[in-house]
Amino acid sequence: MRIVYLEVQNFRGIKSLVWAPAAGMNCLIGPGDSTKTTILDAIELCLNPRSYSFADDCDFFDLDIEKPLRITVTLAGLPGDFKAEDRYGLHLRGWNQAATKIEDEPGAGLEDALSITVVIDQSLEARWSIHNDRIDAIDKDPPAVRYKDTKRMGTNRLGPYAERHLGWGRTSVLTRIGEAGEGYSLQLAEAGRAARTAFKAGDQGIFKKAVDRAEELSKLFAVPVRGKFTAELDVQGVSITSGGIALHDGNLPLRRLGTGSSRLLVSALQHDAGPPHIAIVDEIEHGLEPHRVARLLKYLKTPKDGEGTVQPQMFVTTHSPVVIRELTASDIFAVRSSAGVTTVASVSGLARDLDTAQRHLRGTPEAFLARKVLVGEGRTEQGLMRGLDGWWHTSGRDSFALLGAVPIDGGGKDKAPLIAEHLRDLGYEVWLLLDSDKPPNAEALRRATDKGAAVWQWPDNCSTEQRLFLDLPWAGVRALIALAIECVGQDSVIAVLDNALNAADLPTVSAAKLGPERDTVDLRRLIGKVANEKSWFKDISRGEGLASVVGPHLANVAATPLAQGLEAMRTWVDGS
Amino acid sequence: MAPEADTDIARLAAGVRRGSIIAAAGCGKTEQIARAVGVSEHRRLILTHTHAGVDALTRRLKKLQIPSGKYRIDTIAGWCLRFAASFPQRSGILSTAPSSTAEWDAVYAAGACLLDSGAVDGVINSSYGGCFVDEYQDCTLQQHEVIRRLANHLPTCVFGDPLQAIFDFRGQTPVSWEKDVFPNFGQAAELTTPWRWKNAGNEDLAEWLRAVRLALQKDEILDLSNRPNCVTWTALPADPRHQQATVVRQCLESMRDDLLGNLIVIGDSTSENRRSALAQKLAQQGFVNIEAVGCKTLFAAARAIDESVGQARFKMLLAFAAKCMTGADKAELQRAVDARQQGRRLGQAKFGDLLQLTDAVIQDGGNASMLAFLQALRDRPGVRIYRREMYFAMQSALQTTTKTHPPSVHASIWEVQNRSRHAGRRLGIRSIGSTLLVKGLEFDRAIVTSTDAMNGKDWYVALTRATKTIGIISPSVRFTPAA
Repeated sequence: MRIVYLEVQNFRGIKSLVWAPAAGMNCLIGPGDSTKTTILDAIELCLNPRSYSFADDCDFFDLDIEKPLRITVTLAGLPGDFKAEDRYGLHLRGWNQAATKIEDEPGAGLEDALSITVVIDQSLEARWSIHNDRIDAIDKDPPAVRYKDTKRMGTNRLGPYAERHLGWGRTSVLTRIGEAGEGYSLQLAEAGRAARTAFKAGDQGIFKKAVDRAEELSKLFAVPVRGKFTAELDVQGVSITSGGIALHDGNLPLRRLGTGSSRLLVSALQHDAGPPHIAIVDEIEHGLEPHRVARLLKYLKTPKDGEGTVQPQMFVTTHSPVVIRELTASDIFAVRSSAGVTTVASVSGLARDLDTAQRHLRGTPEAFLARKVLVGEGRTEQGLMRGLDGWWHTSGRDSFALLGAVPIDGGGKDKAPLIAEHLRDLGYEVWLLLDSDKPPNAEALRRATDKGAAVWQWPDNCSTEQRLFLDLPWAGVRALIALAIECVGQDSVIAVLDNALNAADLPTVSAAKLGPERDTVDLRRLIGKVANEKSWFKDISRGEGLASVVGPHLANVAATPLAQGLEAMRTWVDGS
Repeated sequence: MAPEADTDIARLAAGVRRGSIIAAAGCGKTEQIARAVGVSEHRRLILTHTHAGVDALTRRLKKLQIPSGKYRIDTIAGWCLRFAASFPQRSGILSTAPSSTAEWDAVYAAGACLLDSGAVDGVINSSYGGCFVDEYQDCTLQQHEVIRRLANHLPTCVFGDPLQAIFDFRGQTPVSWEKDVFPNFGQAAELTTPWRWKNAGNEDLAEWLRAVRLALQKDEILDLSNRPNCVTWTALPADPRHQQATVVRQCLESMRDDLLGNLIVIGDSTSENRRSALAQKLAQQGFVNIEAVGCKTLFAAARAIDESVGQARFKMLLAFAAKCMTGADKAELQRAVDARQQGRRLGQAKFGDLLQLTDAVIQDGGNASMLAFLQALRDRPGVRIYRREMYFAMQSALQTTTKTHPPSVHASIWEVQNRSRHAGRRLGIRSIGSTLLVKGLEFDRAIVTSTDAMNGKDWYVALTRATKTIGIISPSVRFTPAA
């Protein structure tokens, strides 16, 4: 069974959500308060009916108890017996995978599906039922899922702490493995009796005074005393339940394992136990080192032995670049919440170029965990932005991290606008920094702009390097050359500069030092061109080095396009 | 019984992909279906026509201790309506509360459309491993179309007997065994051992009925001269005026053998009036009419009552009462009521309190007043009800509050008759019916009255109702049934 469609109304931070999850891994990413965990909670609530009520007013969106909360989960890949007419056969609906759409009745070319709804109104009583438009049309009690079947629909949830699964409690994974369920009731009952016997055999003297007094008074008030009063363990007092049985290693309960280890063990058990269940994992990386996260993800994504190639469906949240790097674009979904309306967008579904999305995900996974993304055209720009972040931070301004912004490498003039567009589609705020020496991918740039990406392009047909050499004070220009020498070596820098100056009929560096008297626009432009062409700064760390040169000068050249552009970026990052 | 042979048939039925099994009357068809369900691997869908049929099959399956998880029994109508109504878009069903023949036909068409749509493939295959249909001769073409489509999904074996195919379909087309059934469901076997009579120790009748069947199948003449002792023959006078007296005489004579068990008088299929006239003559002896669920007299009376008020309504009510009972003194009572309306005292002495009840009928015409009058009339000394089912249907209808405005007796009757269709009927010791009404029923004794309209199938159904004795009243000993 797998979830093909999820509809949520008025549940906690979600006023409304509709989403068609993937058949396998659904890794939800998004900034805090984007309601990722609420989505997991909604699925769990809907698919695990229980007899007691547990909702409170906080479960309603905006605490508005007047509007009932309603969660509908539509399942496909139903077991045959679910489809029998005396079970849910006559309530089936049709799932159109191609159009990701539910049709109220099954049909040719559609997959048989079943919708389960839970509704909680202000009475706080949860009512689970089967849902479709035909049932709603008839004004009567909607049919419910049989208790036995709810166990098969039920989800496996692995929270931050996994201890409860290392015992044999009601919803524990261990209970699902094997037939222990039938066997241990008798054993537990006997253990209870043994405890009472053992207690009885102990020292009755401690209770004697109170017991005797009670007996005396009973007789005094003519309360019949049949035998003799004694102090014993009450049957209700020593209720030894299945939750009390736990996995031990020697005498040590396994719940004493570290968080990561116990979570690893439990997720492996869940993956392995019985028929596949829909798995829900909060913060999958919690307590795990990167290599163990990678190992776990690989294991979870592998179909179980004997289950063919069907990957179990999983709903996972993460804040870890490691997790993102280990997954493919089709596994990852960006969650956004705006005025209560939650949207879940597929990273692969919205990509025009899947390879780029994939490479991007691997290259800069942290971008997908941010709220705002600064897309630099290339590594020079990314490095410059990162470096400026550091410089600004040391000069007392908020770091980009604090503001939820991450600079990334756009991969060149043609790809950068595509990435900007993709990120916009996924709901990120985007600021794109472009060169102007060669025209970028105009079509993609227009779409990105239309979709709301902020774009800064240097004026005067120049590269970022040229802009730097043009706009910095002469001391800055010299510092940049010094940086280049540091990066690529003195001989190389001088050789290429001499070459270029020679070609332009200008005195070479070797012949005449670059003193202030040589400061001309043409020379600056020429050096900038060389810096760009020879890739002096096309590297994140070199780009970062640029910032240490640029930063201190910015205030002095505030009117230049360079300073204006970088200030615009800063303002955008500071934004709201 | 011969268990080995039976198991073979049951296995055959359970294994066949598409087939039909012809079952002569009393040859253990119900038993075979139940056994076939028992040996089927997966759950079977069993469809039949009437609720009585559902009951009979359910009882037999329980008796053979077949786990209820192995079958699902329903009427074709019920199954079709349930599925078509569950998926209205795919079936295109119009009315989910069908009443008329046309509406029911639309339900079957919707069922066929649903099965064609592919929407329920998953449900069907998950629900059943095969299908049996009982009394296939009673299928209409529309029902046949549904079964034919079901058979595309499920191994299907249909059971029935072309020789018992008698209808009152009013415009519907019955399924033709040659044209419709065999091309889709080739004959897999034929049940010919008349267990009903063998088990009753009436070997002679069993053998004779087997011979009768063979003759009727070949459209040969029916020869009563070779009848066994338990079958008697009486000549029916050619003059219609003397015919009823002959029948009445036979009926009265039959009362000598009451110890042998219940009796059915199978009369003229074509005339409800003639059968009720016979019952009226024999009312004192406790002969009672079996009525069709769609009893014309009953519905006509209800409509007449609905459409009239005041004195006219009373007149209609009295006319109806007189058709149900002897000793109603219809003419005399009507005169007394007319006189009373004009302030005269004619008939006051004879009818007494009854007349006060007529006042209420004439003045308010409500169901309660009509009911009170009918019951008071029935309780008068010397009154005997011979159209019992019709009378009680009216009584129930008058007790039912309908939701229609204004309240309609006709609508209530419809409701009541629908309910009784589900409940089945209880038969008295002496009943009068027609072949159509007694089809599928079993009696100890039968009196069969010949009419010109009776064809071979009518004769076969009529002659196979009784297990012990049969009295035949016909113009001659050897004759050719109508075509």
